[in-house]
Amino acid sequence: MERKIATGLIGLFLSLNSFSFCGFFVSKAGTDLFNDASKVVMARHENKTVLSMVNNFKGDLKEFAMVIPVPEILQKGQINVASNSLVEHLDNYTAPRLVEYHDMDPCFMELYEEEMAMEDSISADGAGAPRGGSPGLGVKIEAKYQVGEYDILILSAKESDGLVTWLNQNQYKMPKGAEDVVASYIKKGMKFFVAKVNMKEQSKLGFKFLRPLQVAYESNKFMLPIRLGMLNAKGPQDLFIFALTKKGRVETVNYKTKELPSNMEIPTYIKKDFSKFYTDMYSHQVKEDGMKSVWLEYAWDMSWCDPCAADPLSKEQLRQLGAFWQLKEGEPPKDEENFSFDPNFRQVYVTRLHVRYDKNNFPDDLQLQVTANKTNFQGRYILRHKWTGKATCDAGKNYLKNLPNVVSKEVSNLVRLTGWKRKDIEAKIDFKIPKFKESKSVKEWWHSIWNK
Amino acid sequence: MDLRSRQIFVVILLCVAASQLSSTFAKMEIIVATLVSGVFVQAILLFGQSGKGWWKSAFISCLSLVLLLRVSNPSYYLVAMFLALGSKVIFRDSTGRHFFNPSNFAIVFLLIFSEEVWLDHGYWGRELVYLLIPVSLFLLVSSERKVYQTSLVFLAIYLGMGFLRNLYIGDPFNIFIHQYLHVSLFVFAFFMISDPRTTPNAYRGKVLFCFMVSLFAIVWDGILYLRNGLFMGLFFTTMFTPLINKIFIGEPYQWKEKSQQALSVSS
Repeated sequence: MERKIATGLIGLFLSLNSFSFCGFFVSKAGTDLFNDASKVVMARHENKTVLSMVNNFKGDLKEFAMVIPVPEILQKGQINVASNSLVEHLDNYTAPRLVEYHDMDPCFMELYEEEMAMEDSISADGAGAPRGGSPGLGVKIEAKYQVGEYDILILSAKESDGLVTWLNQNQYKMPKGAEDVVASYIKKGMKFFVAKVNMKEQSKLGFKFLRPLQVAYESNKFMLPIRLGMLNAKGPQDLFIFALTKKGRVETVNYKTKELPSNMEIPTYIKKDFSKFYTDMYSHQVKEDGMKSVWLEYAWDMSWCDPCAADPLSKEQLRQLGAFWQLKEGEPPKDEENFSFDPNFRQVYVTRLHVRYDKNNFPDDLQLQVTANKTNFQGRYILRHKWTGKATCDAGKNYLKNLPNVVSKEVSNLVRLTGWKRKDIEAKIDFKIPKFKESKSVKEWWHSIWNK
Repeated sequence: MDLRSRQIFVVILLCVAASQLSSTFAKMEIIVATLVSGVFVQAILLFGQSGKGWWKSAFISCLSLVLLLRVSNPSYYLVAMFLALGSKVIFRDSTGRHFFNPSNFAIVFLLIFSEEVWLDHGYWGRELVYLLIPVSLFLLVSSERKVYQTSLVFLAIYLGMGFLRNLYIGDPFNIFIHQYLHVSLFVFAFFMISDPRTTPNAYRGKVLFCFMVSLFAIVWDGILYLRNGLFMGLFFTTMFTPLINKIFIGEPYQWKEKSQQALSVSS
């Protein structure tokens, strides 16, 4: 039986520091938002990286296999299996959010805010046993480990044909064109991390879904390899990168990073279908941009959030995700460091990048850099439930008079964001805009001086 | 408009474009503060020696800093300004001319010694047509051979080396195009390394200089996998400029403008 490397929907090839792995971004409503999206967490500090790859394999576990280039031969301690819920938590925390306000009677001037956020859930499935290396093919098995439910090999290769042949011989079916991409990585001195599911361990551990693999290593290279994952892709793919750093925002060097349009008021009926709004909005922005950019969806210091889309991550959770510099609970700081005894204080800054890519627009791997930019950004969309009562003062009258303009502006925002037709949006407005009638007796400016 | 004023105009245009494309571009207040302080510091450094248009060089250096450098704290622009203008006074060769490109010196110094600054290369986007922007803006400033010579020689050598490296790695041609042909490179080629007063005088000196910058950049970026190789390359190669000028003798460049005296002092 041939184990297909990239099965079904996702290219499971990884290169270098990162790879395109699939993950599902699902809304609260329970529908898949971005099919086949890969999710990756990259914790980076100085030249040390911890990479967590969410495994979104769907199919017979025996057929699962993963190949990632890594910059060095990893020791067993550099490999770990994380939990899906951990990445899911980070995902929820950084997800674009919908906030809701209720306009009160302007004559009383009170507002309160309710928040809702998008959630995602990840589902994954996954299956293999290694044989010897082949000196004839120039492939050497540098190390062999069993970690969690995975059997792992670290391979070094002298040339790509040899490696691909070896992989094919060991029942890893490589997609067409793999030799060229693999050759590129071999020339850059990379080793190859190959993972399969150990069926016995997997059933013993009893996890329903395959768990994320994590690797920790030191390298100047800070990039996300996406080239292998595109080889057998049938169209554009989605990738989410959650970057955890101490210094600040992560951005791409060789592609443009654009901020998702945010902080705009949209019609209140979107509350019922935030998911569709979000996916259409993203698709529309990508289309307008020509699929040329990487999109920033969230960038924030993890000590606080406003509004919070999920509970803050604990220090231990952040460390488990790879933020090794995060001080443990109760651990004192070294001198000269910014520190606060606030229990919410974290030394981690998170950047959430979302990219839809294909071979034509993204020919090269994503080169990343950590910047010292600690400014905040989030995907936030605002609903204002209108007040439609009787106006008892001038402010109230002005509010009602202005209501159609406000609604019109919200509709325009929605058109700009999603590309939906104005007529369709207006048809869905879920409340009646009260017709405001200017009272016949127009008050003169002197009326209010003496007449109450 | 004289040459220096054209330079100012062009760098302002680049800044306007960058302010629209890059979300981390400095705010107007910061830019104005940097420019004003730069001119002020320049006035002090030139005490008694200023001629007409003395302020233009400081103005251009400060604008270049604002264009290229990104900072977490606006004070760093002032630090950069001091470094840039100071380098012109401190680092002089045996003929009394400064040999470090002021903006380059300030940027690299901060990149090495500070955690709070970075360069943003991606904001221009990757469309090849945008390459026309730095080229046409450059031509607006000057079409003098001595000025564009370095840019073209540099591009030829750097792209040649890059092409060979790409051949060695075995990547397809479109990856070479993607990695090497970007607006950031052209801005570097036509607005930084193009400075005829901080590059060697003789033609052969220029070629050697460009070769060293390109080699350094390719090793720095492609083998050490660090960032900003071009800027680093220029910085380190500049240390050899006085030596290169002694080996390959050439005529030092003079800005061809009405007020010659002003320029030889201020640049």
